[in-house]
Amino acid sequence: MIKKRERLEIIYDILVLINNNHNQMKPTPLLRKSNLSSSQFDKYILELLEKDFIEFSTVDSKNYYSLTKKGFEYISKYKVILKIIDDFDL
Amino acid sequence: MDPKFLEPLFWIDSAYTLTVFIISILIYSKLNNYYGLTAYEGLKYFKNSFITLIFSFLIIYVLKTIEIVEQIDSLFNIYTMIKGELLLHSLLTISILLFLYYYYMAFFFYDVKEMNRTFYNILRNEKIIFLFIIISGIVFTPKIDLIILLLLCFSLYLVYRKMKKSQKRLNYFIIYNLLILFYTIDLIQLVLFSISKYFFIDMVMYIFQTIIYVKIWNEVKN
Repeated sequence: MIKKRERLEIIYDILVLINNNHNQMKPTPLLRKSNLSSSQFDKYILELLEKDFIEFSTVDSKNYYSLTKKGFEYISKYKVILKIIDDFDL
Repeated sequence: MDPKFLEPLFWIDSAYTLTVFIISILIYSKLNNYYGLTAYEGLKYFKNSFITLIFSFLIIYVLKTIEIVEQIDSLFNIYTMIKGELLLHSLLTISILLFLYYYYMAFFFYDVKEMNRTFYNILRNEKIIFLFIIISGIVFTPKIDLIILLLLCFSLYLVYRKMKKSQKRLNYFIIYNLLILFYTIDLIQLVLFSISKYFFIDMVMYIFQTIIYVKIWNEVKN
């Protein structure tokens, strides 16, 4: 069951890391704190960018990731969604 | 208006179908929103199972209404015997098979994925499945009672398997399956018996099904 929804948990963890860092986080500390391999991290970041959960910005020649409205929505609804998946055993 | 249309069962049927339709649409739109956020496969099949249920309930309603109209107009009776009912029964078979597909995939997609990748890739290709189901719907319509029996066996097996494997309480899973049980009873009643004789059973079933739908909606809407 845990493996089944692993992807959802990883996405949630990445989004929460960014959110807890005043919604602005550099790629390197994000990679380090996410406990993912570099290739896994790239895969998830690409998915999050494609799905419009995070956006990439450059401030004073430094790169940052920050959450979009959809990213915040994912965080707020994550527990409800997980409860549905668990309750119905999907 | 013909007195047949003033019978309480007709109005109760209409009110029940409308209620189920509205709640199912609400559940579907909520689950669709969650699926849009997560792209979680189980949610996709689960939400689609509600759409196929709506489709099925609407066909059941039309078939029941036809039975009432047939008692009024014999010309309509001949028409439906030749064309309408055959088409409707085919659509009903297709809706049952589609529901079976989404129902089974919602709960077992991961097991199938782990067991056999090729089979899983075929099963998740909805175009192939739709084509297969439409052909099966036309071929198997005369054996519609057998499909209903299959539906019941599948759901009973599914509940047994899940309960055996799971270490936690699966209240909502059981509630959802109760809905399927009532749906199956509804189908058995429609296909094998005359609809208008069992007013009391219908009433009890409609009340229980509405409660179940509201309970699922409450869980989903948060």
